[in-house]
Amino acid sequence: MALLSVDVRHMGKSYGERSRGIEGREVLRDISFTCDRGAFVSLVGASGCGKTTLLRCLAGLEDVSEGEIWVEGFPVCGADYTRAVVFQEPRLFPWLTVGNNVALGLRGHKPRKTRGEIRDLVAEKLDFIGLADYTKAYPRSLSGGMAQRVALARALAFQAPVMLLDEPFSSLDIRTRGKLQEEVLLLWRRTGKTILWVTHDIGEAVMFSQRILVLGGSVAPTTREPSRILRELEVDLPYPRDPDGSEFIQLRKEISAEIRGSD
Amino acid sequence: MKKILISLIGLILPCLLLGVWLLADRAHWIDPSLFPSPQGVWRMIREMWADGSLGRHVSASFFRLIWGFALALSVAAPLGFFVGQSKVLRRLLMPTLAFFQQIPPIAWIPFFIIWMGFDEMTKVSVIAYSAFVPLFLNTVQGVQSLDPLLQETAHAFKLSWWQRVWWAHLPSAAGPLFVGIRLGLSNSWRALVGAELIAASSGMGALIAEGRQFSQPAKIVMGIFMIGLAGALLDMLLRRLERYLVPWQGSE
Repeated sequence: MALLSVDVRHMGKSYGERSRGIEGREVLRDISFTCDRGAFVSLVGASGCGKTTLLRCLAGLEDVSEGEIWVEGFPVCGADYTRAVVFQEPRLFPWLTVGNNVALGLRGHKPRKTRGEIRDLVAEKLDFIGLADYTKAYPRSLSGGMAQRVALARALAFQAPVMLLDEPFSSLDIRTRGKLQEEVLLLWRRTGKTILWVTHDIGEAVMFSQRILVLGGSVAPTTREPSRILRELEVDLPYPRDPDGSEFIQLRKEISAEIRGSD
Repeated sequence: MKKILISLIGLILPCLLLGVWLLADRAHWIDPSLFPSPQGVWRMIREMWADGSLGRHVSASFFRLIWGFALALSVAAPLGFFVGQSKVLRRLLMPTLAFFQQIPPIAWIPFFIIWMGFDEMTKVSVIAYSAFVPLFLNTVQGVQSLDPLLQETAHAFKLSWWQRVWWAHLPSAAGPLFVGIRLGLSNSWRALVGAELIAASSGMGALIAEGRQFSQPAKIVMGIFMIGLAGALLDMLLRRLERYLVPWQGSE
């Protein structure tokens, strides 16, 4: 049996404290799934279904209300070194050069890295994403795609076995998005990291992931009910995948029917 | 070349004003006992420069400015930094500060004179007082202005408290702090001249007071000119420094 990288057990998330007398809004209910080490898993679902919330819980940026999350054999309690996050926005620090932004992923490490180590690792990550020439540039001189690349390098520099990506390329144009998607795939194959990718783009999920979790259940606002995992699909197609292949199209259809069915 | 020409545009208006002044003087439109001629002012500058008194006055003012400002900065910046991070402290201090903010520094001069006489400390206190408020408020605002998304990112990458301060809070506060420094300096420069008018025997303000006492309009105009020139140069210097120290701001 392959080692479990991510293990989510009956996790639930509600907002609004009942103790304050406000009726809590339950966003996620009874979420359970596991990821093997080195798996590429996508989380898809309609917007507002709680995908990002789930990812934030996995990242440890939000506490779960019920159940528990285990990553690499330890229960999640706050952020730690097992998971690196790439957010929807690049979230670069405007006052730091590109190099120092990437270095931010290294500075929290213990034991502390020396200046030389940091410099070498930053150079390596920037080289990997093809922005070695921009080490000394400030974020404001970068395009959206480049900024997101830097965010990716920063997450890589954090050297976590699990990468959490929250619709990282949704605000980019199609060409840049395609390039960056390919790069994540390459990164995954080279580093063997576990990747959990949140996306609303079904094509993107089918194109790259080995497994797809369909999240849904949150219906029209009047009868809102918490989301759960509607379905798990294995994508057993060889890379690179052909988006015009019949199996590909079939999978796409199935998933979008599942998502639409939940509305 | 074009750049130099553009930067010289700012000199057109002063030259024009000087020209009008010269012409008006030549045409005898001005009563020399009410307003001096340009030549008179120029003569005054040369005389006082030659006997060293101009240098003494200017350096006296600058000396006070530096002391008072350093005092204000060393208290306002750290204090503002901590207050900016605490909502309770902000609530505690802000109403009182809003009150003191409205009082012009010169209003305190009588008290300062009663307490400290015509001592240097009087002038230094006035400067420190007038620089404090803009420095403090801008630091508070700078610390608060750190984007919550970036704060969260810092947490996600496990930065320690010190690292968050060093890599996020301090640089985020640096831009507004610089605005505070520039505002504070020009505030305290103005207050200083006021204090020197009343309670000093040296400095730019004292120079003007002297001119009034001995009916030397040329001296008054020279004092005014020096105050404006020194203040503008100071501000220019700070802008340079800002571009060097806070390079992530600005358009280039």
